[in-house]
Amino acid sequence: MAGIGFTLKKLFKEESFSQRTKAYLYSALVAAGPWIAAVLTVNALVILSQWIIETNIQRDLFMGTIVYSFVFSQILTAPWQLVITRYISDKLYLKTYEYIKPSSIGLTKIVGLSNFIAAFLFYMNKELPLPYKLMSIMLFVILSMIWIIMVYLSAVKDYGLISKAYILGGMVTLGLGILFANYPLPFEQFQAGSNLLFSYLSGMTLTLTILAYTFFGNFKFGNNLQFDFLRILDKFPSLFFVGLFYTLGLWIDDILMWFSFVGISIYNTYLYAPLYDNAIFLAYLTIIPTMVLFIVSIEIEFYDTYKKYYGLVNGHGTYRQILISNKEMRRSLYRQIAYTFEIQALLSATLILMAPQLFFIFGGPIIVRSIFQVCAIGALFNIFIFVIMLVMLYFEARVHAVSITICFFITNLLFTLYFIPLGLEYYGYGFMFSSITTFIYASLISLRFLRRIDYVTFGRQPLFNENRQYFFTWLSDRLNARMRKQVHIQKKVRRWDHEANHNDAS
Amino acid sequence: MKICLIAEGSYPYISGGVSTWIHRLVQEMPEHEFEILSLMPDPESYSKYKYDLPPMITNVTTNYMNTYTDLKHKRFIIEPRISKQKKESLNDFIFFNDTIDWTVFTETVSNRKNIGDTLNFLQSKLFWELIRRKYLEEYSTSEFNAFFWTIRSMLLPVIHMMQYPIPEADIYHCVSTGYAGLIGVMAKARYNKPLILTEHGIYAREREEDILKSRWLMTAYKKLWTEFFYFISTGVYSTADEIVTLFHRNHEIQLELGAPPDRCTIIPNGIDPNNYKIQPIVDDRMNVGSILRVVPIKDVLTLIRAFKLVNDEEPSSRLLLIGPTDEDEDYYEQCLNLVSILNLDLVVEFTGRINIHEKLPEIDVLTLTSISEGMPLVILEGLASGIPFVATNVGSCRELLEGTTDEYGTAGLIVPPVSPNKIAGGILELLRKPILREHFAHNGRRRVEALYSNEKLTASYKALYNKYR
Repeated sequence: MAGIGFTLKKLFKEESFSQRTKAYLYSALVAAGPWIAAVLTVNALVILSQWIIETNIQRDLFMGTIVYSFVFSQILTAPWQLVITRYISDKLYLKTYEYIKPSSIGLTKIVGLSNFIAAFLFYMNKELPLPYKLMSIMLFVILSMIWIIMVYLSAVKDYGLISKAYILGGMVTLGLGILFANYPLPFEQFQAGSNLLFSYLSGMTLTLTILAYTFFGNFKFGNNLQFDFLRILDKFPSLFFVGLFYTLGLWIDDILMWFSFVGISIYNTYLYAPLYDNAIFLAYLTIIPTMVLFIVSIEIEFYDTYKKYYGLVNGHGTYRQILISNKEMRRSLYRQIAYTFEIQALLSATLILMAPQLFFIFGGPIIVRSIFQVCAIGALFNIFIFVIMLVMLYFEARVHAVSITICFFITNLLFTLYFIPLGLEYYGYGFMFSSITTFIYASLISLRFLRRIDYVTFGRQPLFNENRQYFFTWLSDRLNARMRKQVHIQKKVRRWDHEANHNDAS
Repeated sequence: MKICLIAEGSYPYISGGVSTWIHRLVQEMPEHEFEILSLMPDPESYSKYKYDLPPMITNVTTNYMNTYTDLKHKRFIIEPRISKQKKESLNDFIFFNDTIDWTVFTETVSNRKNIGDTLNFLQSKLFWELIRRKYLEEYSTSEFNAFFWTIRSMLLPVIHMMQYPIPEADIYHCVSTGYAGLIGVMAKARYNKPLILTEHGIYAREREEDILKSRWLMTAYKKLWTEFFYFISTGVYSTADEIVTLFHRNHEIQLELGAPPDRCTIIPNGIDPNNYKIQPIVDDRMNVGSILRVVPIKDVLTLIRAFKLVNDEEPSSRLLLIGPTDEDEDYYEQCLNLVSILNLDLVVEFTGRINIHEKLPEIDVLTLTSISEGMPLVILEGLASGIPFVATNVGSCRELLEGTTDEYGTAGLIVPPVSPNKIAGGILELLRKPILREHFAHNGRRRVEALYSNEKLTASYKALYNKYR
């Protein structure tokens, strides 16, 4: 009889929210950890070099190289970090592990090439000796690769090995530093600076080697779809921009400061502002407790309520149960954030108030101190921007996360530009006001979002899986096809070889 | 006059009772122009016409229900900003209120300016609030996620379908309730033109049976689907200007479901009896025939099992299955398997798609073992050819064979569906009693000639259309 058959597609689908959440969390953790470790190594090396190297200018050159390598490798790789985190967690969830290793190679190729080109263009016309230029480019590329492989290693969660990699790398750096201070390698120009750079480069190379070894030891198998991960850019382009704008936001005030009158130029190569850079670096150190606290409390308390909520949502919960667990989850989240904020605020306030004494003891310049005090207030709010952004990502509110990071980037740009002409006593205000503004914005939109979370979780879910295939899918297919062709050719060659050998033998 | 026939899952893509009925009806009316509005699931599986379109059909518009997958989700949902009255009508629709104003409702939903496309609407806060309330009022102890997806997937194709343009015509004639009826209701509201409903089988009942059988739907939400189909059927009953059905049994059900008696009529199927004046060929075998499409609803498996029993008793008997076998290849495969398991390969023949007149003269007894039927043309054809029938008690079979509403007497045996024993019993009785066969054949032919002629059918619909000239 008439009537369209009952061929309704089952739209029920299950998603692992929990897996993904953890992934974002760990990637945040591993993004901060090694950064701090690396900075500590650099500082140790510099302090060490202060006793050995007479000429300050060479140390400044070395510092310039380090700062630029760090800042710009971060900016250029950060956009990929969330993208690849998402990709890995999806593949882990689907248990298609064979995609993970090739994607690391593909991403390394892309980032390695683009960052090499960037570094090459930067150093090409600079008046530095060739060996120094080469080492600088290598350091830049190696740091970029470290940032990438760390994301992959966050999936393995072997923190013991990761810290070992950094400690060993740091020790080799310092060891070589001392060795070359006494028996310097015979670089023709900039001997002291080149030796420092060589020590550091060696240490970082070792770190990268250990990390890579650990990673490939964990993921032995793979297909040859190295560029499959590019497809995710069609699906979640926002992840790319979250990373990009957040990192740009973090650095834009520094970069603008380099062009202000506190900026100094070294060999017409590096422009940077040690006063401001040091102040803001110290300010960022004050927020380490929040990172640790929040991560721990998220693990312990919020996470359970989160899992329960999505368990009910995806499972057999009635709406009433869902409402109750929703309330629990939100309350737990607000409580965690408020609690962390209280502690962090107390700590920041203490450090800001005690800054005169601390700076006196460690002999820091007063100007750095006052910038530090302003920036520490900024950093306090800034870390909570980061926390809120992370929470938005947990709830798949990627557009919200992007808007927060864009807000941060733009306000930091504008406020910093506004305060620079007002003079030294206003340095850091740009960053501080930007952080406060963005914090308020982020709080408002995330509160609004969380109030509507039931509607968003259900009502905004797509009705079917849309196949978003645009440019990056095409690109991914093209690149993968090339890879396959190569493999095919290799196989063919191998077969010919084999046949040839066989014929010879017979 | 231009008549728009609205058909769901049938003409001209799928052959069957309703399609054949349409195909014949339009050919009898060269004075009218017909436009077919065909509602189909998706263009991939159904792209070929199964019929050569007669010249009276000037156009076929096909609206696909499942092509919503071509739509794109938007990053930002536009909340519908609509009047209170329109919101009210949406609310009535979600709550299946019979007091719904169908005109307002169809206008609200069909216009994308009101609610956006089906994706936008189903992702909107307005919709969320509506179904949240429905859940809390009616399903609050059931699993919410399943409720949410059930109602969403239920409405997704419906709203999509309602947003296609509808061809303009002087009369809208839907050949079922359900989605086709809903579109009819919408057309009537939009163009203010009369709506005629011809219901072959009772749509809501048929869907209810499908739903009860379906395995993937959770029990709690079978109710939701069933209520939905009854709701839209009732909507068509309350809106249509004419409600036609083919036989008494269905007429009674329509009344039960709330069709207003003053708008209801019965116009049975018809054939041209002159085409079936055939000369039987006598041979020494006993030939049982069944004219059918080899599909599950015809329950061919039961027929084969029944025939096994017949053949055990009467080894000279054979079974001819006359009709297409390509509509459900899996099922056909199952039938072939059963035939060989039962060792009937030599006595059961699938003829495929042929002209039935080639085989009718050989046949002694016809049978129809469907589990659901409207008014099967094959019974009319068989009776007109002077062949008695054994048929299951579904649809109008009893009316046709026993003549419960006329004086022409019995023309065949009625047996319960899905019952090989009873079916075999009926066939054997007729095979063994030539006199009874002759008697039945006589009655059957007289009934068809008097009540179920094509002429009568055509005249009735001509009159019906002319009423709205």
